[in-house]
Amino acid sequence: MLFNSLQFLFFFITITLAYYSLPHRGRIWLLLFASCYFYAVFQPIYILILFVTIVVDYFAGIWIANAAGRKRKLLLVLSLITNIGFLAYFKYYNFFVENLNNVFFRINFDAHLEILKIILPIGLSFHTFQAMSYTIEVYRGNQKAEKDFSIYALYVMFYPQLVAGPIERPQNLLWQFHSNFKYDFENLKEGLMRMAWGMFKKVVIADRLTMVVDACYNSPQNHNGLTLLVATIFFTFQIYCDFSGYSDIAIGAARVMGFKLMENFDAPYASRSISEFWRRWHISLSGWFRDYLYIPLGGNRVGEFRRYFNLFFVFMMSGLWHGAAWTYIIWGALHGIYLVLAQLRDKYVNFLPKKIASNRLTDALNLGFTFILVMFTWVFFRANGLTNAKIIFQKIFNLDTYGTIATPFQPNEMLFCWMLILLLLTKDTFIKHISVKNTPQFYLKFATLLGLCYFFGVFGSNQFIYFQF
Amino acid sequence: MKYITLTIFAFLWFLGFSENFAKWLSENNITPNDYRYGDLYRMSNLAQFKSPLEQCKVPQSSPSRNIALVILGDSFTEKERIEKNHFKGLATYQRFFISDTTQLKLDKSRRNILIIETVERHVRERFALPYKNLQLVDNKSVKSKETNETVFQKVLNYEVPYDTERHETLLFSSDYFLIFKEWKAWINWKVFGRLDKKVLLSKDQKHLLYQLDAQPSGINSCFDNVPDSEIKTIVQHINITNDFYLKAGFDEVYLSIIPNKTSLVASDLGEYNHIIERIQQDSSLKMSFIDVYNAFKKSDKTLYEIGDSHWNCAGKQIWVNNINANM
Repeated sequence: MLFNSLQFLFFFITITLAYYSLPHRGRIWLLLFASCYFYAVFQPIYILILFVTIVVDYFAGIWIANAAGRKRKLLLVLSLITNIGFLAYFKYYNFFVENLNNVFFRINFDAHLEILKIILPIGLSFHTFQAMSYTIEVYRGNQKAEKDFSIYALYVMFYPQLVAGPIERPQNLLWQFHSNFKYDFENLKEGLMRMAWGMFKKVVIADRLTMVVDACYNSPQNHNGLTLLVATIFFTFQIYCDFSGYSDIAIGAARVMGFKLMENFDAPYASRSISEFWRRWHISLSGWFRDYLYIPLGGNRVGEFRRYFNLFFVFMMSGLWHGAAWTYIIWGALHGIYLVLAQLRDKYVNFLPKKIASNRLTDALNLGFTFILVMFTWVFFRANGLTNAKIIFQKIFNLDTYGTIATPFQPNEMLFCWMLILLLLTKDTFIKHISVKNTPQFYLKFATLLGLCYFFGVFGSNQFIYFQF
Repeated sequence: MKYITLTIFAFLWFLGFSENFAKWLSENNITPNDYRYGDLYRMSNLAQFKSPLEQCKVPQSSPSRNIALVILGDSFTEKERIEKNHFKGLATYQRFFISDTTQLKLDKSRRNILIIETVERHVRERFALPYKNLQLVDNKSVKSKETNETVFQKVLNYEVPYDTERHETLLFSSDYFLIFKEWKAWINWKVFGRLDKKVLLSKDQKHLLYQLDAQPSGINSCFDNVPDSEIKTIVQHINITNDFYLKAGFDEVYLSIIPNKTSLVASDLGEYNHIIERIQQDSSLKMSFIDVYNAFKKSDKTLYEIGDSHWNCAGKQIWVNNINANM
């Protein structure tokens, strides 16, 4: 079910009202049922995959907690293999086979492996990673094994964050499912305001910008360099509004019921370095890779070269996590390279002595440079294949190809888009400072946001970009 | 209070699931018919094209002349627009949707007439192959479609029976909500120069058009270049269709292509491809042709509803008169 659909409106109100009408045990089963339904609206059959991973990880958690030594490790490995196995089969098998077939073709080897006709289960990478973090934390002794099957199932399936995160940790979420939250008007207001802001980002900004982005990126050969540059800037904000909008709605929906999900974004385009960007962008995923891949690989405790390799490898994996395509891998690898280069710079080059530039100027330059790097790297993320990415770069960096901007929008709407981007940059954190006190200002702001969503929203059942991951 | 609200919202949510219930509500006038101002208005919500669809008078029944009429048609001939009494001398009247596969038994004691009616924008698709969806059988026992789906496949293909449009129709098509929709449409049009993707305006902005046939190109467009070779193929398929149904037992088979609204009121949007005339004038065409394009062109009346892609009462009457004259 899409958050930006009429169905979700009725679903959300009905489930929330029913939630507050039931005792604790009833609430758990209600949320479980609601989450199953929420997922089934996309692809009913794939709920079986979720069920299998839930059963495996539930028992794995209990057995790991009771086991010791090698058996403990073996159980963890078995659980991880099951989770990664589903991910590998549904998400990466065809990619692997396609590349293998390409290699066979290039070396004139007479073999052709069949591509599977399967659809990627929606949000598979998200709930798989969340499930894996549970068994790893139980193995590490940071989390007690959950004995209550329904609560563990809800940990994996909790509908607000089921298909696109935030990827929660068991330490933050499981205890909340054991709690019996009382209805709290402050939570309700805070949650609804957060949802309204998320919806605004999605339907007013992201889904408007996508019209320009799609038109340009789906046929870059038909557009000039300037138009493609504008489309790239728009995509930079589209993906942010799309994904952070989803996170806001998820966090808000959970908040209404009393749950507190982790923050996933913190004004990432205000970052002054790539490492800061990754502390502010998709925080739950960055944290996951840091804790469960980078640190186990040795983290900062290994030699210099190994550390750089680890960093690069982790970001390449992060790219692969997003999608089984070379464009995603290059996107991740580039971020890894930027981080390695930044570390080398910090160690070997005194890049901009403070004597020359003031702190504010240095910050501004760093901010601009980081934004430009991030923006151009998004080209790989969005382009339909490497050939298109190449065309886009060739046109953007060749001023001779520049002409007048030609998008599906009229000048008024282009101007409106730039105003929205400006609003986003200046007011992105406004939601965190908004008072939920019973003041007329609160209700006015809430009603204004809803009104803007309706009158300026683009409603065409546009799916959230991160659902595909 | 909480439980009352819960019940109301649960009920509203449920409305999106049940097609039958939604139909029942609409048929009993509990929810308004969201097509009451026309399909183009429904898509665009532009207030200047909002006008209730004209209710046409249905003629009294006429004495039977032993004619059994079968119409294979699209939305122009659906039961809300055309019914048995519109035609003179009918003993029986049956109308099927043109793209449905249907089985039918003919009563050989009557004069069996088949009319294939299609709107201009779909001619190229519908006659890309000979048209044989109507199957004539000896016994009228309509067999249900046999599916070879296994239980596993059924489970695999199961979809949650929800339709957002049903929700939209049931809840937000009252005149009260239409005001908000019109404001939104006005902002999009006047401020951003953007209309709903499914509609276009004529050059003088007096006519609301269906984007499918008013767009510059595409198989449904009035302005798409249709080569002579394609016209030949279409005519060939029409002829095969004609032979097929005559052989199957129909005494007469007619083709009627209803012009697009765009072809008549906004042909200046591009280079009109004149597909109706080219099919009709093809010397090898064997199927009898009921021409309304030229009759429509000659008429000085408004023949299409302002907010609808279909004909109004005057347009419909021209077609009905033409049919009756031919029968």
